[in-house]
Amino acid sequence: MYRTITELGIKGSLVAGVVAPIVLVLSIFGFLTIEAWPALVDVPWAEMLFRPAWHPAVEADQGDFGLAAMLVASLAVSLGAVLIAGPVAWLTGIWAAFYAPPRWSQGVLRCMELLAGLPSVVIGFWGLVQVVPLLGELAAPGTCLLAGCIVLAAMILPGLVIAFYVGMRGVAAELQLAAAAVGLRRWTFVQRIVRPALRQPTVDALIVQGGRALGETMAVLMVVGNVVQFPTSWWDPVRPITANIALEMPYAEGIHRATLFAGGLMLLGVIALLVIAMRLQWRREGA
Amino acid sequence: MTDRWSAWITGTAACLTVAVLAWIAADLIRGVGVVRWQFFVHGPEDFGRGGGVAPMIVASLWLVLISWAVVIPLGILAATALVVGRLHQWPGLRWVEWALDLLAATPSVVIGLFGNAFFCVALGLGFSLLAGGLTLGCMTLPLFVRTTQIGLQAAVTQHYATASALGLALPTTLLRIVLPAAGPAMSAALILATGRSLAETAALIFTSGYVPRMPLSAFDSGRSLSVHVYDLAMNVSGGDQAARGTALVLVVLLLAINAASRLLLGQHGIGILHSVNVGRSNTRA
Amino acid sequence: MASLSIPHRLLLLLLISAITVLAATWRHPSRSARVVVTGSSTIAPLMAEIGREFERLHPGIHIDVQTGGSSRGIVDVRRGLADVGMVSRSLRAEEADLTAHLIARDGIGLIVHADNPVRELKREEIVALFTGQLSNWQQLGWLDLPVVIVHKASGRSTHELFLEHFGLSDRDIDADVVIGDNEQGIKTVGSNRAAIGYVSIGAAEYAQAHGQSIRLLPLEGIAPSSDELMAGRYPLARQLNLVTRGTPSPPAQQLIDFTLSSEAAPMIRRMYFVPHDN
Repeated sequence: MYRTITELGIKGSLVAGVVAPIVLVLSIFGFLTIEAWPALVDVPWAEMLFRPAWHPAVEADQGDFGLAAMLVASLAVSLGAVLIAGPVAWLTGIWAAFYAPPRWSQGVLRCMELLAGLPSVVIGFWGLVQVVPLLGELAAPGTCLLAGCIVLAAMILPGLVIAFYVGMRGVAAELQLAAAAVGLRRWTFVQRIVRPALRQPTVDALIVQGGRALGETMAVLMVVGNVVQFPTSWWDPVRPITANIALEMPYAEGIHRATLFAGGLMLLGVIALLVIAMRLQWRREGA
Repeated sequence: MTDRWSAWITGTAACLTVAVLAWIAADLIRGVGVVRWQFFVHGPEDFGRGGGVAPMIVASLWLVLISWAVVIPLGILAATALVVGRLHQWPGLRWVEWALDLLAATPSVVIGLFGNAFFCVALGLGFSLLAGGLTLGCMTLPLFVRTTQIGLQAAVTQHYATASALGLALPTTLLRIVLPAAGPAMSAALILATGRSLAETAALIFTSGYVPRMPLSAFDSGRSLSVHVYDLAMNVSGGDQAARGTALVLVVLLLAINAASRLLLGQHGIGILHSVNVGRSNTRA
Repeated sequence: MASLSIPHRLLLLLLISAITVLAATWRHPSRSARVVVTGSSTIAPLMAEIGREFERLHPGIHIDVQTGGSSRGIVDVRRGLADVGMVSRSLRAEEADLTAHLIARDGIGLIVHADNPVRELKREEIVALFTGQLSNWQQLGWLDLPVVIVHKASGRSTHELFLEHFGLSDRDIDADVVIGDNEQGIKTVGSNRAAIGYVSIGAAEYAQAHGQSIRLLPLEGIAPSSDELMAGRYPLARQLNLVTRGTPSPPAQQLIDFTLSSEAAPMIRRMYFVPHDN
């Protein structure tokens, strides 16, 4: 009897444990939707999604609630980060996996772990005191889209390098001896064998890190200038949707607050789509 | 292209990559002059230009401990359930995996929005360390579950068949054999989650607030070390040096945490750390 | 215990030391009354200063000051998240549910970098600068340097009063950097030669006195100084208010009384604001 009761208790708590993450996800969606509701009802969706004008007010008819410029800014800043970090990380991965002496490649990986461990606010601070003044020399004030891209690139670089390196070593373990046996040069091996074999994992890694960049707040907020507008060049100041939330959330009220939650909901939606796409992809791979 | 050229090109890229780290480190190191022992025991003066960071250290401790209260019980249960459930082929486990992946990918600022709506407003906790810590708990849950799960899976693979053959009941197997065997992985998971909490800024600004005072209880608002760095960098002219010092303290703390988790996980753990860093779930067989 | 690995011992050590520290700093909530003050970043440094003095005189009362802008002060007081709101403008008609306690006067001043030789800007020039029609300092007789406009985020009373005074709408402004607190504006202008922005005069005077490289510009021929504010001549002046809703808690009332008393006036002057009595 005692045994079955304990067993029941344990099974019960395990079920609770298994349900907890689902409940948490649902309540995040739920609370965001509840808080965003006034905006979803009172602000036309077309205005939120397609208009760039952002002049928030407490009442819906007094302000402009366009999130479009900020959505575009979010996408631009993460895309730019991936464009900068992707090639550098890919080449670094090749070097660490195929060219460097083992000790050196371990050293690079250790450095990447250190870089990955830095808090985003520290990287943002570096951007603010080092990158922004440098860009400011070229075009004042230096707080701009490009600065955001550089800071985010520094943030996602280590994850990419590690992902690429791990993938490349996997391929190398299988095929490098065979390639050496038929006399392939290392560069030929990388270009003809490693690259095609890693096409999908590379895209996966870029998407995962791009998603991280999309959700990053503080590092970006500190360097992009936070002006709400469509970027027309790398030197334009922009305000991504995450920065908007962090800037205005502390004092927003009424529809203004609801629109910020709507922005968060949109961001969560984009991230959810990415996660679903990845999961489906993995399942197809596994099949 | 010859191998020599490609070695040069890739080598240059590697140098560039490491140079980023070196650049950031070189800037932070300039703040070392600020960090004396008084820095750890005094509160900030003159809006943080002088004085120390004692209240921020205490606030960070509060936040971490409160997040543990969410992460440890929920996380161990969820990880155990995932492993046991897979063994017994429970239905619907896939959804839990999806939920964890989604949670892990959710931007911290969105979790902060949830924390503000739920803990601060709906539960009436206001801007408090309690609300901030609970938010951090929700944020670090997937990381903790994933890392614990790896240790549990190994323990189950190793011992479960034997235990069943001996006729041990599920509770005995779990409590006496599997969970102890997964101890190091759990500690490592906790350390990783702690690191993530200490590094967080965005989710805290509108949950625990940023009062730069010594918090007297969990219901007070408090400013974490990371939020202090942000405030000094953005809002205090002449605060850069203090920001460097505070960031240095934070980074050294995080390095110690990373080293500890590496020790716990051993050689086997490098892979875990990598997959956690890469953000890809590693539970696929 | 002997079998614990080093990291486990570290974890245990962290746990024990954390609990010790927290226990040492813990005060039972009922033993120390708490007054939460939130809102305008213009008033926050002043209230932090006054709060510290108040705490020294009234042990057991704890003052929490947080910034976020005047709107936050109003929102928080209405929601009950704060006992006292800081609002750096007069209350509007739709805010009649709140009680304002006028503590001091301040103004909004235009600031440029200390290197900027421009001594005075006409009203039309200011409007042209902020709407992007004047976009290079050369046009105002300085170097060939594109102007960097530092603008406040909406929801800040400094932002609203500035736009109102110049008859501008937020839609007209062509900003290069958008900032939150006054301090951020001062820091941004102080580290950027080509920048021009507007902040609280008190905050700017304080920063200038503490060696920041910014300079206040006169407005319509009147210097942005405490004297002109006191004389009521400065055109872009505003009230600094503490607001409450209903009957404040006794410690909150004590804090407001102390802020209005002659004891607090020197502290207000030290922050370059004009105390209400004068």
